[in-house]
Amino acid sequence: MMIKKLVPILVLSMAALLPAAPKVESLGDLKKLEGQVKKVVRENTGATVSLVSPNIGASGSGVIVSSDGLILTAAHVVEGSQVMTVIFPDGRQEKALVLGANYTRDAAMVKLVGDGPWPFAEVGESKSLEVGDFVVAMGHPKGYDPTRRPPVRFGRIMTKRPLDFIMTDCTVVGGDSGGPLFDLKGRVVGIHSNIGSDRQVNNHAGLSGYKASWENMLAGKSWGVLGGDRRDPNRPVMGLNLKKAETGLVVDEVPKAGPAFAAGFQPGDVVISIAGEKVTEVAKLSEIFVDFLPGDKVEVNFVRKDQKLNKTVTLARLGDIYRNQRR
Amino acid sequence: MKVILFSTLLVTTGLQAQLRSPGIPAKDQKITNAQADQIFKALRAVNFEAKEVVYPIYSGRERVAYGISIGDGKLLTKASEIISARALFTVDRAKEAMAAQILGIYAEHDLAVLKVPGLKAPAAKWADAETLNEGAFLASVRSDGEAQAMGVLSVRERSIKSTDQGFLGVRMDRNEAGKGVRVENVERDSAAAAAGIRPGDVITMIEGKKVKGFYELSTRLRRLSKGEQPEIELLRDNKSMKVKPILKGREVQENEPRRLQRMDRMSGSQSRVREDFGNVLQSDMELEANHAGLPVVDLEGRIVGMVIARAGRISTLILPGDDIAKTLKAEPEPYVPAPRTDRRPNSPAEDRRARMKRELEMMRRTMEHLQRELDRE
Repeated sequence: MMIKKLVPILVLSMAALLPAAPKVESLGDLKKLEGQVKKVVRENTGATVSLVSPNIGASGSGVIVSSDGLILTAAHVVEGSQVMTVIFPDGRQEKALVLGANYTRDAAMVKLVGDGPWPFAEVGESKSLEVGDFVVAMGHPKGYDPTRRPPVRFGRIMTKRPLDFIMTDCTVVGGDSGGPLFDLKGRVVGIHSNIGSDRQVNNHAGLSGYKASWENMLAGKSWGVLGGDRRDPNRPVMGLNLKKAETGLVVDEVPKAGPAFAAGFQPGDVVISIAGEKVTEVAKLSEIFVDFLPGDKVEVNFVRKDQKLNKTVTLARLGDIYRNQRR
Repeated sequence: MKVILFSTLLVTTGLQAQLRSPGIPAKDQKITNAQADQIFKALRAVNFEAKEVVYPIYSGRERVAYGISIGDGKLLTKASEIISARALFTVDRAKEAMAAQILGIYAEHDLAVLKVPGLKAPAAKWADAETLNEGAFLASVRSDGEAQAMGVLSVRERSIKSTDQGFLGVRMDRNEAGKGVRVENVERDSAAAAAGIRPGDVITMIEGKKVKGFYELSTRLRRLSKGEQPEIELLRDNKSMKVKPILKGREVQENEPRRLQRMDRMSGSQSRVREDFGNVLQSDMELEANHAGLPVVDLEGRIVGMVIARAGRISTLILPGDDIAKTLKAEPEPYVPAPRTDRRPNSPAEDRRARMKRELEMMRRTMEHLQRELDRE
């Protein structure tokens, strides 16, 4: 009994030791914070560019993240374009090519054509961000404006959302899309994606999500659907119908046209992990697959009659499995 | 509602993600609220000077703006917010209502001077805003010593008056040209027409600097002022030639696409007059239209400006303190109320429309008021 009582107390005191939202308790703290914000702005304004699609005529923003001119932006900014005009804060214009995009993450890459070296910002992580962490947003709201440098916005992480999205109270607006969100060390931790009518609802695609899709985007692949869509026929699937049971995620059905059937899965198998990630909820699957394309291979650990097994499944298009089934 | 942040300049792409607008979980909101309280507490240390000079301005039961004391019982405020309001008054520190009359206006800056007989308040000491850099912390201060909002300097001092910007009067090819910018069309009576620029010409240089495309050329032109005479080099029939057009001012403000206007409208109230200021600072501090007139301080507690407009979701415009000090050296223009008698009599339908519009406006204000009350709970 004693132990049972102790456990929650221990957990609570542990929680108290965890890093809470950064504190600003005095004018001195405010001045220190102001100094950090100004430094972030000073060092990263030059890398915050405007992106214009010459054929569509619409504009968003982007941030250069390497000296050879790799630009991170939002997927909806590059949709329908192969070439983008890049406008620097000083008015210089350059040409860039669209590489790849993961639309479900609203993440995309563009590459400057010239050799550089280009001004660039460091890349950070969004996974390690906490609610209350201070952030700085820049971009080219309402398109490039020669009378100003990219306007600075300051705010905090309000909450973290699925698929590495983060919500802040850094107000952003049309044209900011694809622009950078920095942490106080000046590292890019998010890319502006969309807003709600409340001024506290500004959503940014987190950099950890970009990192998970990095190689495929760099290789020029484009996949996914803006906002996510479970009916997207191009969505990668294993062809395993799972349902949650007490033992875990149990295989309910294995469509014959799918790759899981070919790999030898049977109803009753209990799936433990996919691509190294433990799964206990069906909803988790679409999060895991957000960075995969049909044709990619994933390892699946599962239990069959008390035996731990693993098999490799080559992911297929959702549309292919259903079309074949209907035949 | 969720809105994708694309800025559509020419055409609408119709892109919009279909996720639901998410709320912020209560536990997260608790953390950020507690943090905000801390920050606003820390800010009290910089508000001491500004709080002595700021006064609310009421018309009836409604607070329409704030005013800043400039001495001799006078308050400086935003003209367009108070000009059509009736029975203006302020409330002094003893909570006594004191009537205010419009003494005069500085139309160019949308400023008005109110006379409040009997008001004893120190005059604001205006500070220079030129030294502020982007990212500097700013607070707008109320008379109770609390910050109404805190933000950063988003954009340094600049003119947002488009009629000041140089205008050549050509339509340019927006495609990547490489060697220069092809002129597609020349406007009649424009600077370009007077200088002999013709459609088909390719502009390669301006003031000795090469231009690769539309954006470089338009940036250079808009950074020049009307009346300036830049040397422009162009190619015509493969021959290079030079012209020196006398730039005119931009005549009309380009209309913003509806999508962008909607994003601003859904994000709180906006000032009726929010464009064409000759010199303003831009901040991200979140205010409403009736917060115009609040003093803005930096972390040294200096009054670096006055809120002159709420201009959209991301933008609050501030008149720099040194500019205000300069303006106040001249007498304001006397304010003459617009004559109402020479108006053409309205048709019954127009009257009904006007009445409905007024009532709608009153309902909107009431709802905003209720929302504010709710937010305060």
